[in-house]
Amino acid sequence: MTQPDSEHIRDDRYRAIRVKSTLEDAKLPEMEILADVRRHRFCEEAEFAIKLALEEAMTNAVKHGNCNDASKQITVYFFVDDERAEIIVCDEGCGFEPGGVPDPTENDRLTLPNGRGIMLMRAYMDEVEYRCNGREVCLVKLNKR
Amino acid sequence: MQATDTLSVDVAQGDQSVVITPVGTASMDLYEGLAAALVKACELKPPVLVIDLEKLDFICSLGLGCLVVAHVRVRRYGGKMTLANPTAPIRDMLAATKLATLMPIYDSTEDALAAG
Repeated sequence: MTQPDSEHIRDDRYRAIRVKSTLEDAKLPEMEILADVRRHRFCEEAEFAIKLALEEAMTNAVKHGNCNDASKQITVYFFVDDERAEIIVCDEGCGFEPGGVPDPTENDRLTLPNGRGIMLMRAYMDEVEYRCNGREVCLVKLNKR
Repeated sequence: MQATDTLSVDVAQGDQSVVITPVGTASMDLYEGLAAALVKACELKPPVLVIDLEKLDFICSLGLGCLVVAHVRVRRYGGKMTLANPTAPIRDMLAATKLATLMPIYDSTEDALAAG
């Protein structure tokens, strides 16, 4: 466990997991977060959405944020209660402008192999907010039991 | 979804077709198994390549990207790639990403093979 770096997530509700920036290690927080999601009785569709959005955020952190540099780390802050699941994924990269990412559903981009991660996060979560010049993404899923 | 994700890929080769059946979870740490099977299948250049998604319970965008790459390769050599039996969550993903407009989806492998 680590202490949150950012002012806005110095909150006792959050737990933190820091992992090495590889696709294998980036998978590690998922089991703990999804266990909390199940414990708070989110529906199966919400669990699928959270798993998908978390994978997309972690993949982006590894590949784009940290540029596949395994010496860098990713920190995940999260809390889950009966009302909501909130997950913040932080990389150590230079950031980016989320508004500059093209729409992967445009006809001329459909045959590209990548570029769907942000779109999927936005489609499946209730809130997706980029912070710190794109180095952090906050994902929120409400529990609509 | 399982507590610990796994992915295996079954491949069935016919005279004019190859059917690939991924079983489990094509997550970010496992999707390469699907990617490798698709590359091998494309090298065989079957006229019809069917991806049976009935036993796939999850796919991330990297896995979707593999399907797109295979679709482009198959089309390039004049073949046809189709999807069959997606579970409801994966069918929804294919719709949300509009990949359902790129790759035909059938309700059964038999229908997909017949359409090819």
